[in-house]
Amino acid sequence: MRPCELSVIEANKKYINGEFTATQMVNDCIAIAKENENKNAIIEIFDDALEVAEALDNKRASGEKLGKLAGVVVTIKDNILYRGKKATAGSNFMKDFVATYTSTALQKMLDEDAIVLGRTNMDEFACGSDGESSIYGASVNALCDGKIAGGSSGGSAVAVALKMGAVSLGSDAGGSARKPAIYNGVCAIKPTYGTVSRHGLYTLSASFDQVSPIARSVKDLAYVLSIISGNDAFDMTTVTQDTLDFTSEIGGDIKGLTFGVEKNILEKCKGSNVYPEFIKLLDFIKENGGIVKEIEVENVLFAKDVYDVISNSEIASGFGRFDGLKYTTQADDVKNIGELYKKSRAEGFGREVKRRIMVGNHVLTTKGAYQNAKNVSQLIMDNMDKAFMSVDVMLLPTSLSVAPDKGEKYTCEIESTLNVIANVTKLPAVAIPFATNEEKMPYGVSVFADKNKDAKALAVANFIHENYKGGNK
Amino acid sequence: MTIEEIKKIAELSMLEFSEEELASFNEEFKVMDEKNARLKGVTLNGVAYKIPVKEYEELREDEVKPSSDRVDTLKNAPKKDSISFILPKVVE
Repeated sequence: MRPCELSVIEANKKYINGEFTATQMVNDCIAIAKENENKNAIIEIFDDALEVAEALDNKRASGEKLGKLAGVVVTIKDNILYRGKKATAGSNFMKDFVATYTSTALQKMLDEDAIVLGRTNMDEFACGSDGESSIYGASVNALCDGKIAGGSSGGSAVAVALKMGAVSLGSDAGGSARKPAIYNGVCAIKPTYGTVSRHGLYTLSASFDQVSPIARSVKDLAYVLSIISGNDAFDMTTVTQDTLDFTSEIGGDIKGLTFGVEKNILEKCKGSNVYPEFIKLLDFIKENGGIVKEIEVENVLFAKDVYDVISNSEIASGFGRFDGLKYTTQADDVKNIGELYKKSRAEGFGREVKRRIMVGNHVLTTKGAYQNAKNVSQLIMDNMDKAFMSVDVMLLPTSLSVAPDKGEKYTCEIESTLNVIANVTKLPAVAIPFATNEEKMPYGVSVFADKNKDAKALAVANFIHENYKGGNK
Repeated sequence: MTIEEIKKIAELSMLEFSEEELASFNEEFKVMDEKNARLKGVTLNGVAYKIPVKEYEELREDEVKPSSDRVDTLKNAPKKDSISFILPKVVE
């Protein structure tokens, strides 16, 4: 087996046992990345990756204690800061920006001896779900050249699927890690809001953003999330605990667990390609001792409206920071400061970013609209809390179908609702591939749990991923 | 919305568009108005958003800690001298 094929947990164990060198691992991942350059997943391989690997090999040789990610190669989405490295968020506006500090989540991985291979492609500023709006061009699906990678963390998902690294740090404000993960046949978790510090992650929508790991197994997700999570003085929304463990419940079965299926959402999924596969999965759950319960979460179908109002407002407001004065890009030949702002933004931003800023500013000029949407989000959160009093987890398809062909888009409201509901309610959701169509393209299912019950969602997702025979294994 | 009203939003956004692009926002804004109207129609029964930030019982120590490095920070300045960002003239 090539080193790059190892999971996070296996790589760490085998590295500590001396079964390969970090230099071999990095070279192997670089070779895979170069073989798959047409996928446009990694936009920069860091020139010090091999030096870091050599230093780690020396550390091992000297008998020093090795970290939980020693021997593991990581990639990072282009919106996660790593000091001294470019972080452009896939935007022309930030094309020359070099990070002046390292994000908390990544620093925790570096402290455990992870090696960062490079940065991955993404939709501009994470504004997109198809992976096609990057300054670097679109990423290509790992499994089929004719299909999209998904977004906005498309490069990360493709890099993990093709084994350019065992794990990637993506981000998820509305399905941006979960959707590309299942389109490319890998797994992702959007943790409970506040589980992972957002310090050093480009802000898209502060109410919804979370750093989200993407990996080839649920066990790896739980392992990595345990490392990157915890309290951070730089992010006041983080949990109070310094460390958390998401691996403890992994390995159990689902006997006696109650699986909620929200009837209003499922009704809208009827007729989709994923629906019959999802029903078969429910049968599997019953056969394995799980209890499937139809539930109704009042007002849940407003989640997409809430998401659109809040996220666009926060983009419009937050993106005021891109003014042409601070971050590398500044228009020339301007007469005054107003013209400098406008010209810099006109040259720097792509079409989708401009659209969202305009829509957001329209909302913000509508009296009370933003606050009302926040209040409705609380109502949906409260209703979800009530729902989780009678179920252990909730299941929903991650997408109505497999990855679309290039140029094709899913635009119906319910497609977005399936993912944004976790961001609006701040709940954890683990997305896994669970079945395939006749072309062997994966369908995805998301396991939701109550707030701070990420370990439960991971344990159930792991059981399904490892045991369901319809899955893309 | 009139084209003048859309232009006002573009002005607030510090963005510039062609007349054709501006006109296309009419439909976009209409969709958002419909979303706002739907959300306004939701019965809240007094439910209000709770801000998810931690409550601190004590203030942190007032001590000097490392901050952003000037040299690193200036690397990202569009225009600079050896110690400062150079900003365009604001008062005309």
